[in-house]
Amino acid sequence: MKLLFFEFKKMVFTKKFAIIMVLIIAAVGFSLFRNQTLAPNSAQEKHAKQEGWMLFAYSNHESHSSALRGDSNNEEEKLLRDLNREIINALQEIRNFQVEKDWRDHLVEEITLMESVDDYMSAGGHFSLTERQISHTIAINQKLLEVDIPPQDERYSLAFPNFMKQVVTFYINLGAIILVILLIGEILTVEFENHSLNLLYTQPIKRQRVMTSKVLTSLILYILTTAVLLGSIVGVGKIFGEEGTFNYPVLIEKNNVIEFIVISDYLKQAFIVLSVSIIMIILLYLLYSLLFKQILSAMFALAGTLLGGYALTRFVSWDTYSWINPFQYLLPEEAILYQNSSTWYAGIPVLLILSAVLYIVLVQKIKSARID
Amino acid sequence: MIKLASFEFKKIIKTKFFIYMVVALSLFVIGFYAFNYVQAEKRLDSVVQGNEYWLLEYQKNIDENLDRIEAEELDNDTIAGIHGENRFYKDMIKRNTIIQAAHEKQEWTELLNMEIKDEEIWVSQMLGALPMEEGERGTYTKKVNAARNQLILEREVEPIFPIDYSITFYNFEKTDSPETRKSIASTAKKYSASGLYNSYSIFNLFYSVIGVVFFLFLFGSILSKEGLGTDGPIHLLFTQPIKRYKVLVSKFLTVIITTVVLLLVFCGISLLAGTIFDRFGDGNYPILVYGDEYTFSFMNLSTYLIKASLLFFMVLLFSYSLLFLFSILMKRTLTVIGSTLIVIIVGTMLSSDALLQSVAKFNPFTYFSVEQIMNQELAATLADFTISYSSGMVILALSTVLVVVVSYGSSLALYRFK
Repeated sequence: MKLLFFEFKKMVFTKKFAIIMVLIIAAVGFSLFRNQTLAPNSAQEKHAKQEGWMLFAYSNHESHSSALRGDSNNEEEKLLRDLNREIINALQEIRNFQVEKDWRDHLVEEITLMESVDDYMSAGGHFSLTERQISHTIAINQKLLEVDIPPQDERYSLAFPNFMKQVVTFYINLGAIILVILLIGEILTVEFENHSLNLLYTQPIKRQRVMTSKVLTSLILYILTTAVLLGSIVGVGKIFGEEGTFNYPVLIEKNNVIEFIVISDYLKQAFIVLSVSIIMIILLYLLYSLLFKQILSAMFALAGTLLGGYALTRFVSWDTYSWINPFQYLLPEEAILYQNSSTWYAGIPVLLILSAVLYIVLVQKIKSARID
Repeated sequence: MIKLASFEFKKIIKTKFFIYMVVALSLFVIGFYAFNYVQAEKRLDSVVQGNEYWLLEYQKNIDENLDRIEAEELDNDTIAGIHGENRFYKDMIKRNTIIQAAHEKQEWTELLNMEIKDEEIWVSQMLGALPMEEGERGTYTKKVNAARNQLILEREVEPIFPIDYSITFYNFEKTDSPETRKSIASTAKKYSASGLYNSYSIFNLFYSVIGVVFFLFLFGSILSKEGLGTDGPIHLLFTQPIKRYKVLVSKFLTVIITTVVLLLVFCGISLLAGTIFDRFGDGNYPILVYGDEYTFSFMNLSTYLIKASLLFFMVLLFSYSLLFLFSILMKRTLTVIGSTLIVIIVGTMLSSDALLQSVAKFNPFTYFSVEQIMNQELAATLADFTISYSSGMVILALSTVLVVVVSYGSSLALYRFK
């Protein structure tokens, strides 16, 4: 316990830790400020996109009309022209600002537009939307209407739960790994560089405890960092953000079928997979630190291992690979949103087993280490 | 300055870490070549074997159809339909025979002519059937393929397979399923074991944030290990009759020279491996460059390799300037490298932010994806063709100078106040 407290004080009561925590809080504040500044531009971008669709639909109309002038009995062209007209009508309805509408009306109009485009493309027409965009837009809009929750901007949300999801997504996708390595990067290597580990070896302390205290300190640092992040999101989001709901639907694909989870479930799953991944990464980094005894070598070995693991995740497509791949949660957002070839929790058992193995190897290695 | 630089150079190359990193880089280059070689062989084998299979299948279908006409009493329409089917199979047999002969004789003229003609027919049919903009987008890839094959024919260079199927950025615009993208990218991927094309493949992978991270790790502690600002060994140098700025400049020069040497070695290994096990390659193999309004052009492979290397070198220079700035501001290697990497990651993310696209060309981090700058794919994505190799060289050079000036100012300010 004393050793753990000693290690903890060494890592936490430092300028570096304080600066990193301050930077996290500042980054969260900046994110909300960025969302507030750029949200109006996002609406303009959406209108510009709709204008683009309108031009495309008019161009299609010209093309079909021209074909029918050449052959007025062409039933296929007539059908396409009529279906294209539905798209133009739907777009005109969306652009009609004279009628008072609430968010439900906008969602219904969007569904009508997407269904018209889908009918048109199914009949052989071409439009500047993909099937995935169409099916996702229809699904999310229908879900929002069903649960009666107003839509939020995916990238520049001001609603507190959606803002939390956005920042947490950035944190789980490499942000946490980089921060944790920044915090614990020197936890072992500096002991070798300063030869202070030799002093620890001469103390009546089991070497296993030295390593265990470093592992636990690293985990506590990760928990503290996450707590500071969540605390700053809550603080900044509640004060400067808008109201929202944690039951906001998040679209996922499971076995190529669209399903929904709520933001609270997304956050739970995200932190579970991230935490299990971080445990493995911390243990792996400590092992490399023990092997190489030098910070750059250990960091490079870790970066190389993670990059190699990620490359394997992208290239290997066996169905059962997700049950034995410990590197599938380096970008956990993908694992949660796209569960087409595996479930979101498939990699957790192998990560826990690998972490246990790494811990045993670490302990054995430090027990047999010689004093320099 | 030269003596100092040579002293710094010896300090760097004699460390175990540097040797391990160079060995790791060499192994990576050799391993990548081995992978490329195997994939190139597999791709050729699958083309040849697939061709043989389909020749037999088509002939079998023709025979079955003729037997059917003889054995059954069919009406005239059905017989006409069967004959139509057989004409299609015969055309396919003729096509596959040309492919087979080309691979056997390693003579590509007839094959390329056939592919060019097929693509031109397809393009003219599609342009007639689709609305204007959709027609331009929908036929873009085929036009590129036809033009590339035409150049290969004119320049008498060896084609790289597949030659009948390729993808461009506009294919991915209509395909947002990750599985579909992966599948079509894998089918269209070209492999060649020649030295130049292998270098092209490996450069496209390495000349990105991956390569930058490698070099930052390699030289990450060049200043921070000297204990600048604490009682480190650099202060011994400062007691010598050497101007302070020369010490820092000599380190920067050493890093630049070592980088150039390593890039040349890296390129040399790649070319050598290809030349020994296959061939040197064709310097005038055409590489696609996207243009405005669905236009395109081609750049010679050798020109691409030289320009890409120069652009990546500027990217590294800029990254080193950031590394030196953080080394002056912070003391620990970990925080120096961490800060540099975070700035690069955030800068790269900002360059791809949808709402900051209008200023992307002024953001030096935009040019970190060297491949996408060289082939103008990024310019096509952002619909801004001022983002190019030339603008990249200028912006990176100016940014490097700015950061170096700030570093110099910071070092003066820090040591004046201490």
